[in-house]
Amino acid sequence: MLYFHLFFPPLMFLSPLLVLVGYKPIAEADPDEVRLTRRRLLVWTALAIAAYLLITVLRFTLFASATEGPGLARQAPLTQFMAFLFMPLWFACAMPYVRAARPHMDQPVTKALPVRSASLVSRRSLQVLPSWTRWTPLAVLVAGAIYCVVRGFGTSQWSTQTNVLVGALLLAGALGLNFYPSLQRFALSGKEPGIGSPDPELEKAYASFRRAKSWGVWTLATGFEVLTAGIAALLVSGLLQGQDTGRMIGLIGGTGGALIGTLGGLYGAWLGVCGSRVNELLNQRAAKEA
Amino acid sequence: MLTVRLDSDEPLVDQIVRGIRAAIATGELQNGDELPPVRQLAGDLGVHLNTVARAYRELQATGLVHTARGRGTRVTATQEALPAGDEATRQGLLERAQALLADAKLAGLPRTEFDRIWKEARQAIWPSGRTS
Repeated sequence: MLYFHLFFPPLMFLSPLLVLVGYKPIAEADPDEVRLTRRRLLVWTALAIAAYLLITVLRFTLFASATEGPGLARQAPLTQFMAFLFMPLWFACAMPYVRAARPHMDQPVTKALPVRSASLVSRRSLQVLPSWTRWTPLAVLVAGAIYCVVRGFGTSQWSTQTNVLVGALLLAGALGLNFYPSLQRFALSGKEPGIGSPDPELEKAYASFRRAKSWGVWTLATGFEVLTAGIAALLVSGLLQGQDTGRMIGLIGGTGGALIGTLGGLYGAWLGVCGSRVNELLNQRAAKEA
Repeated sequence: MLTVRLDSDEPLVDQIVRGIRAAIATGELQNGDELPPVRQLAGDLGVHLNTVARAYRELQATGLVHTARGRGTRVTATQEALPAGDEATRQGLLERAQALLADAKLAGLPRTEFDRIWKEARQAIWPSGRTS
């Protein structure tokens, strides 16, 4: 837990910084705006990390050294509130930088061009992911359930409370699974306007955007199944070995949740880039047609 | 692919119906294929939901598509449920063909050029070797 508290806040500061390193401005971006927002992100991230280090060092030297025992372990959690800086850093620095580097990100096609085109393929029935992805989330949940029943059911340690806990976890997994097909259809049902005659490059950009959305939904569903089935299996294992796994489950839940949140943020930014590519092509096409 | 012109005198509903009929005639849409949901097509074309819904209803009336609640709209026939080759149909086609030829002549299109366009259009509907 000490390492979690010590390393997690800096990791959260660094994720907006990763955006700065990873995002390359496209040719049409305004170089002045990109430079200014990049500088702002650097300054704020440096200030956040400096504040974190200052608080950690001050607390340790002023308080922990005066107490007995592993002082750092007691004081470290007090620094984790700094992780809240992640949100202002992300929304005030990283996202404006992404937008400045890709001017098409938020720019819809506003020109009312008279010629519109659309695909006659129903997107909700499209299979954009490989076939193995269809059964993996279910397989993960079933494997977790089989493990729990085979290992735990009928043993002397198995109780009503265990029944309820494991049952509730697996039920939550099954409910999550139930929403998966609807979420996939929703991910594919976004607008895909066309301008004039068919454009292979635009169709490719739309296909790429669809794949990005579908992979996101699949990762979310599979991640959720791994988390629920994994916690249920861990609970049963701990029970059979007579260990208290509550702390471990809390750590896995907390870390897993934080990881999903951070990956979700990065995924959202990646989706924004795919969407900006579509907008860019639409705008180019609109300018050509006009 | 369906294309509509917002600045055309032809109503949007008719343009959508014509586009889908052409897709069925050329084989782009086959028997059993699902048409895009009304919301999807309306969103992509930037037109009102009712426009697309009305076009689908008109296509259903001709027997080319069928809409089932919860299962979407599917192509059910590649020929309209009308008496094949009856006199009224022939007359209608003749009038439209004459109007098309008149348009071409008045636009100053040479006959050879019109023949080329006609051949191209016929090839899209009846590819080589296909008679129906």
